[in-house]
Amino acid sequence: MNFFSKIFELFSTEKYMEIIFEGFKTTLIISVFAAILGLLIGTVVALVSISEDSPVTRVLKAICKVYITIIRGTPMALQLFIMAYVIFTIRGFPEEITAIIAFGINSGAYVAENIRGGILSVDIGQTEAGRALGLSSRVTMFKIVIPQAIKNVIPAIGNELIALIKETSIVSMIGMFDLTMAAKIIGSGNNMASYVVPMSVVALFYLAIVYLLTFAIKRIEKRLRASDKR
Amino acid sequence: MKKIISLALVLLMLVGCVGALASCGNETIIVHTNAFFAPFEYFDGTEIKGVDVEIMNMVGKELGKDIEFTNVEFSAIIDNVQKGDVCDAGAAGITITDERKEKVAFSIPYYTSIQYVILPSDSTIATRTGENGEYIVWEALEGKKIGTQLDTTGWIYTDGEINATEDNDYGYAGVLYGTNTTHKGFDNAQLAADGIASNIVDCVIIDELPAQYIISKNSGLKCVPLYYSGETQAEDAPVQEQYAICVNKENTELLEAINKVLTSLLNDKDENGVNAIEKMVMKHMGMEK
Repeated sequence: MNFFSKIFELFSTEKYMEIIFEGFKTTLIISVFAAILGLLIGTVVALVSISEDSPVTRVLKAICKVYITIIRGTPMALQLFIMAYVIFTIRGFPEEITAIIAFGINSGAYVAENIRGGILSVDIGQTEAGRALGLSSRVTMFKIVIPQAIKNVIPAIGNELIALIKETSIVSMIGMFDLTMAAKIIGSGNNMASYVVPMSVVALFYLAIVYLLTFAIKRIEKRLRASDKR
Repeated sequence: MKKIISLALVLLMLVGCVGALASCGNETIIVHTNAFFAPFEYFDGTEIKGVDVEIMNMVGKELGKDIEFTNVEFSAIIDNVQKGDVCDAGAAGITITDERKEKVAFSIPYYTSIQYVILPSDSTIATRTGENGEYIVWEALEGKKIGTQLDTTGWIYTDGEINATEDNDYGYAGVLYGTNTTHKGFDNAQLAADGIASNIVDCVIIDELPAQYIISKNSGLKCVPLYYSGETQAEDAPVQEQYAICVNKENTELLEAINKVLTSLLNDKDENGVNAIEKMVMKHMGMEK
């Protein structure tokens, strides 16, 4: 049997498609909720790290710095492993939540740096102008700097979301039933007994998710850039 | 800002509550497995099935508790059972070894398996022929690239034969020591077997039944049993091992229930002397009469 007839076999077997859609569902759930959690954490951490110095924020800033260093400096697989086998070792704890938290925390560190970069990329003159007009520093930040920063940050955030979706493929490590796991199951001895075809088919599904996301990000970017002269 | 922080805190607390609630129900026995080991455990659609699942469900009935199977990496099962906080037992066609005995308690053995070698059909590796047909001895694998599933007995034996001398920690002489034989560990046997076609490995060492499953679906492969070579050819002996279910050392109640079920299954023989477990194996292999 050649490659293409095996692909046809995979798509025409109901059992295999059921496995793939089950995995597809898990991948989507983890990606969506982890992205939301990551954006929340990222925004908070970014705002803390650009806030003005005071005794309280200095402590918070130190915490954020340690968080970003550790999360960006260690492999995602290790973080997931620790989350599943060291922290959430509660009987019957839903694995989806473990994974969402692990990926959310990971994504948060990258998003935080992206957002911080976006805010710093807005010319200091904008802040000075706002302050000179008598606006408070908070109003200047939220009404003048951040709206401009968001525009700069969108491509980088999109990048991070794409990376996040593809990185969820390691959750099969803790036994979760995601798309990659679906490929492993279809490729296992009692099903197709070859990994090549199911892995390639599953890659198409990842491609489809990422393509849709890219499309959505492009649309958002276009809307935000509507007022630009460039 | 305060709102966002408080929102995050509330979320965290919610998660904690869910966790606490989930941990209340202690009536379920959680069994860890690696469902890539047909016919003992495998995914049929999205469900885990197999011989081990049937046995554990009988144990559940015996104790009046629910049994829940969770799929994890094979190498994690023993450690998880030893810690005992996420699972009570491991049922994954686990071979009894001395190292594993130190960490967990084993039930009585319920199945005897032989290690098999998966090779390309046109392989030039020398085989011997004995009473029960063709077989391979360890010495024949000299200079080959051997693939195994990480942490399975195939991996442990291969590692021993390649690295052991009487002077190091192993304490015995490995027959492949000092030869340029290489050894690669894979996540599961199927991946290792796929490596044969792509020249990553020359042969794969894995238990008998998974090996037969793999070769039945791949036309270019064959499998032969693996033997230790004796003084004379008549003394060659197969690489044999026994499967058992492992339980956390403190959970004697569960261990007793498992032993009781296994004993009754092993004694439940038909007129041909085939016991109930062998029948289950045949059923899951699709060889039921």
